[in-house]
Amino acid sequence: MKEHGESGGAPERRAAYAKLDEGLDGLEVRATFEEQAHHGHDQTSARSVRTVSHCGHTIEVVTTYEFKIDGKPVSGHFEVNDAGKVHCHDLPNYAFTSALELAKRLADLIGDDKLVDQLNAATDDRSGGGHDGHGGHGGHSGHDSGGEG
Amino acid sequence: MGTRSNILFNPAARDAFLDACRALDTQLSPVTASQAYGAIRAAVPNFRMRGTDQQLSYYDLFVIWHAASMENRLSVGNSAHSGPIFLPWHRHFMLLLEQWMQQVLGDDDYGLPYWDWAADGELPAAQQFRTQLFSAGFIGEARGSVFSGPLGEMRTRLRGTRFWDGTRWASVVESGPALRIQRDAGNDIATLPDQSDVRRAFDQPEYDVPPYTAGVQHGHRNLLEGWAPAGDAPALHNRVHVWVGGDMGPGTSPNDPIFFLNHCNVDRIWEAWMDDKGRRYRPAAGEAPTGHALDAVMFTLIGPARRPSGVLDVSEQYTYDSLDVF
Repeated sequence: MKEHGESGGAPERRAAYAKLDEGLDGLEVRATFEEQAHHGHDQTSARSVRTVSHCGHTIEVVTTYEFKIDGKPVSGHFEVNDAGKVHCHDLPNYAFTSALELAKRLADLIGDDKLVDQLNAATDDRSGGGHDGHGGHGGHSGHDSGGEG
Repeated sequence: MGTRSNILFNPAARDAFLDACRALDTQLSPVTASQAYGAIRAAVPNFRMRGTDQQLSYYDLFVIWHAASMENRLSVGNSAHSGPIFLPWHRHFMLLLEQWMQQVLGDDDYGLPYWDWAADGELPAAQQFRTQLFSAGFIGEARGSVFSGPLGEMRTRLRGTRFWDGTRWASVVESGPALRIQRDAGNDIATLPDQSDVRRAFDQPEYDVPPYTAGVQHGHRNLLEGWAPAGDAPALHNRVHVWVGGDMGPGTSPNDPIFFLNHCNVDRIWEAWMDDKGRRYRPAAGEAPTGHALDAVMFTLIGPARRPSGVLDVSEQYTYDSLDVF
């Protein structure tokens, strides 16, 4: 069965060919954004809801995780899948059978605390925003930015 | 137009890929870490970086682009993963890499190679990380630092980490000293996906199914991405990341060029599925969830922006030497 173009898949012409360095002087993200797109990044506890229908009943399982490393909270977007495995967005391909295994792996990711941070000062100077500031894009509202189609 | 071929069977494609990776990594782009950070954070406030302000290589731009895509969190997944957008976004991402490689190689007919990991998945576990792929003539060591071959000359400068920001262990991309590529093949998970896993994804009649999340148990996309079947996850694409380990773990996973060998094979499997089942995509234009529809603008940092509708048929861009995927 070949249903070419059923969903609008016309071949893209090579006119979209991108040259090295093209556009690099004015770097800008283009995307479809969503309102309230900050799902759980700064939260230090995570609530995950799983639902299933069973013999005419609607079942809901709510799991709340709070991770701490050395007594300090861990932020992030944690989810539990239908098999009970736990996922975190900065280990994007993993699903752990144990939350302890996930926490150990997050501890392995702890970076170099002696690294001098030049980036936030440099970026804040340029944007005028604070370290946790949400400057720039404003309210996301499910809109597109800069798509060529 | 490029032809994408099996890295194990096409020495010219292999050598060109390794040369191009090295060239894009050793040539510095005009973009600094702080410029990239500023541009991304203006659009994606969740995105956090820290560390040294340094000139990024052309290759680094793909690393930061991928990491940033994951911080644009949507009601379903993010702008490149855990939803229908996963396959078209990575096709879009690799199209630019392939075009840039064509330029550094001076070869308009260059095509990315793929790694048919399901073939290696048929080998005994103890042999899977001892194949020819992980040798000096190919991509170097399977475990520890990569010293051998052309990729031994590559360095990572951007790494996904956790950092104590005064109130929490936050997820950040660290811009730091140049380090060798790290791998840990077969330690976290012993085996690669095999051909029966690929067949299961290929046999799915639908591209994706509502509610289009990582939790759906049917649909070509979620099986190929590797979240389903839930009991087997990580499977297929995800399993390859986890099996390789090291730099393939965090959101900065394009640091290891094996990322592109994996994704080129994922793209080949999707192309084989479309060749057999039709160039169908869900959700349709204008439908929820936001950021995953046929007409959504895909998260783009460099090069032309595209929508999924623009990458379903790439017959004028590249072709595969074989769509026999199992």
